Amino acid sequence: MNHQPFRDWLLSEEKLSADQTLALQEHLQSCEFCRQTEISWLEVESTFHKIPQAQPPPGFTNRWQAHLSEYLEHKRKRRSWIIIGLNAAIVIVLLGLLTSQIWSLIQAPGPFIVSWFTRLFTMVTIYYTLEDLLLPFSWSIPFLAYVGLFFLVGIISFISVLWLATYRKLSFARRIL
Amino acid sequence: MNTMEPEVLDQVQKGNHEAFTQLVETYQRPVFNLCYRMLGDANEAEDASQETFLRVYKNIKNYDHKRPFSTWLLSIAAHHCIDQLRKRRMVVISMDALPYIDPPDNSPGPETSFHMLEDQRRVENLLKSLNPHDRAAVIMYYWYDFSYEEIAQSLSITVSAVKSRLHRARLTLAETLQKQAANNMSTERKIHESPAF
Repeated sequence: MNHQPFRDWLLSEEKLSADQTLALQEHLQSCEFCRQTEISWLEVESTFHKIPQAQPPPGFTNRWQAHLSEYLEHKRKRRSWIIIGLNAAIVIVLLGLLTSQIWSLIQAPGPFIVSWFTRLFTMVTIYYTLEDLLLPFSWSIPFLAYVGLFFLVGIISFISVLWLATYRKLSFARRIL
Repeated sequence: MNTMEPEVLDQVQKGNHEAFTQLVETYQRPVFNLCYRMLGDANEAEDASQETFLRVYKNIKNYDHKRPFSTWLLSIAAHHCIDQLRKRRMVVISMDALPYIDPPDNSPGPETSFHMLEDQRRVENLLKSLNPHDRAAVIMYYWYDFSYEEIAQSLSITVSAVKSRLHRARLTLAETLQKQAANNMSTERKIHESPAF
């Protein structure tokens, strides 16, 4: 016997037509299987309606406040440790750089000072060379090219931000709707 | 279900701790009930409820006022419970860890309490036969009177998926009850049978 439509009608919340109701009643009179399903479902439904809402043990709000304080304290400590860690890392790097420079200065003060002056001289030379190279070149480029460049950079930046935002949204926990 | 005044919600979104405590007071019971029905264990339900409120606290700025707050809150609780159920698949639940149940209006005799406890256990066993998503849909539909649309929104599924989940859940529940009744009958028969020598 095909129980499918009758079982669907039994468990559906949709309103049945008069013909469907009649067909279902007739089927239930002859089919023990579907009658048992109906009885069981009605019993389940009545048990659901009888059960009151469960409530938490007394003091839930106090426990929540303690939980929140614990979370905030943990967050504060973590933030402090991150700041301390970052500062420590910066200090270590700076100290490392400074130590290496001081060590070179102590080892050979003359060549050290000369090498610094050489570096400074090289940097100034590079700056002037670049200026000489680019300045006449820049006057020959039309104004529109600058505008185009500006827009290009703008579009690239916008796409990058959009990509980052999308990536963040997709990789975020989707549970918080 | 209790509802919150929009002004209180505004205060909550501005980071007012007192307003948030008021929110916890108002919604502790529906949230706990949902977690308890989902997880079937009072201790785990307590932890899940606390975690739900913490998630709400962290994400309250994302809450959209156009949506009912209770739907948003319960969807967070339901998703958290679904995750918990997926994680703990192999853990056995203690049936003794029952929550506080509100006494009925007329004075409850020991018989009433016994029946209530029996019903409670029966419901727990029935709900356990469902997969987490179906369970959440059933709980929202029968305990919170959520519409199909609200359930769909809460569980991030379509309305037709909600309908088919509820239909499937009803069938599973009816079949589980039938199996339980058959098991009980065979157990009783074994008890009353005279031992074979």
